[in-house]
Amino acid sequence: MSRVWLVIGGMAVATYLTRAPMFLALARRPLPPRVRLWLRLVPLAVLPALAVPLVLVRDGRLALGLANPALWGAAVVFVLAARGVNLLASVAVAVAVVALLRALG
Amino acid sequence: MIAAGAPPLAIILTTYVVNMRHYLMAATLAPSFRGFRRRWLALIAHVIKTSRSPSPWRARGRPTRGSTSAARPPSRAPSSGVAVGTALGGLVERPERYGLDFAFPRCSGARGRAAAPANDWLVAIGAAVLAVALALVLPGNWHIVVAGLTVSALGALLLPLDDTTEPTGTRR
Repeated sequence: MSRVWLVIGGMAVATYLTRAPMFLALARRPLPPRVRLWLRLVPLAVLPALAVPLVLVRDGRLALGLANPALWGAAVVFVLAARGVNLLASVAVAVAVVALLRALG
Repeated sequence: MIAAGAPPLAIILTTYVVNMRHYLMAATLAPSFRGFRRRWLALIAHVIKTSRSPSPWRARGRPTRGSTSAARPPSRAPSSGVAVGTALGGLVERPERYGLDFAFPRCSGARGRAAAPANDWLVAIGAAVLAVALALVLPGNWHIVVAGLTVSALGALLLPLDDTTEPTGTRR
C-alpha cells in the first residue's frame, strides 16, 4: 500500500513540475515583445497545423477530391463558424453532412 | 501500470513525459497572469490542465466578471484566437489525442463573430499549408509540432508588433 502512495505522490510532483516552472518564471517577468507575440501566435499556428491535415491528408496522400467527405464537413463547419453560428451546432451540422456523404458513398 | 507491477520510477517518469505538453501551455498562459503574487501563481499552476484551462484573468488580479473559461478575452489576442480557433477547432476529431486540447477552451465558449487580424490569418494559413506538406513526409504527428512552432516563430520574427504585445499590469 505504501508503494502505491509513493507512486501517487511521485506522480503529483511530476505533474506539478510540468506546470509550475514556466508559469512562475514567465508570469512575473517582463517578456520581450517578440516573445509575447510568439506565445500569442503559437495557438494560432498549432490549431490549423492540427486540424487541416486531418481533413486534407488521408493515408499519407493528399485528398483534395470532392469525394472526400471530410472536406465537405470542413467546408460546412468553416462557413457556419465564420457566420457566427454556435460552434457545437456547426460541428453537429458538419458531422451530419459527413455521415450522410459516407452513407451515400 | 501499478496493477501490472511496474517500477514506481517508471510510472512517475511516464507521468512526467505524458504531462510535458503542459510546459508550452503554461508558457502561453503565463503572460495573462502577470501581477499575481507568487503564491497565487503556484496555486494556479497546480490547476493548469489541458482539458479545461483557467481563465486568462485580467491583470491586476481581478477575474473578469462571470468568466468561467478561457473564452473571455481580456484583449484582442484571445479574440483572434477565438475566431481562428472557432473556424478550425471543429475540424479536429480528438484533440486530446495530440495533447493539444488546451487550445480548445478558447473556442468552446465563443460568442458571435470575432474578427481576426489579417496577420493572424496569415499565420494560421501558413501553418496549415506547411503542416499538410509535412504530413505527407513526416511520420506520426511531427507535422503539428514542426509546423506550429516554425510558423509561429517566423510570425513572431517577421510580423510587426501590435497592441497585444504590450505588457499588462504588474500588481505585486
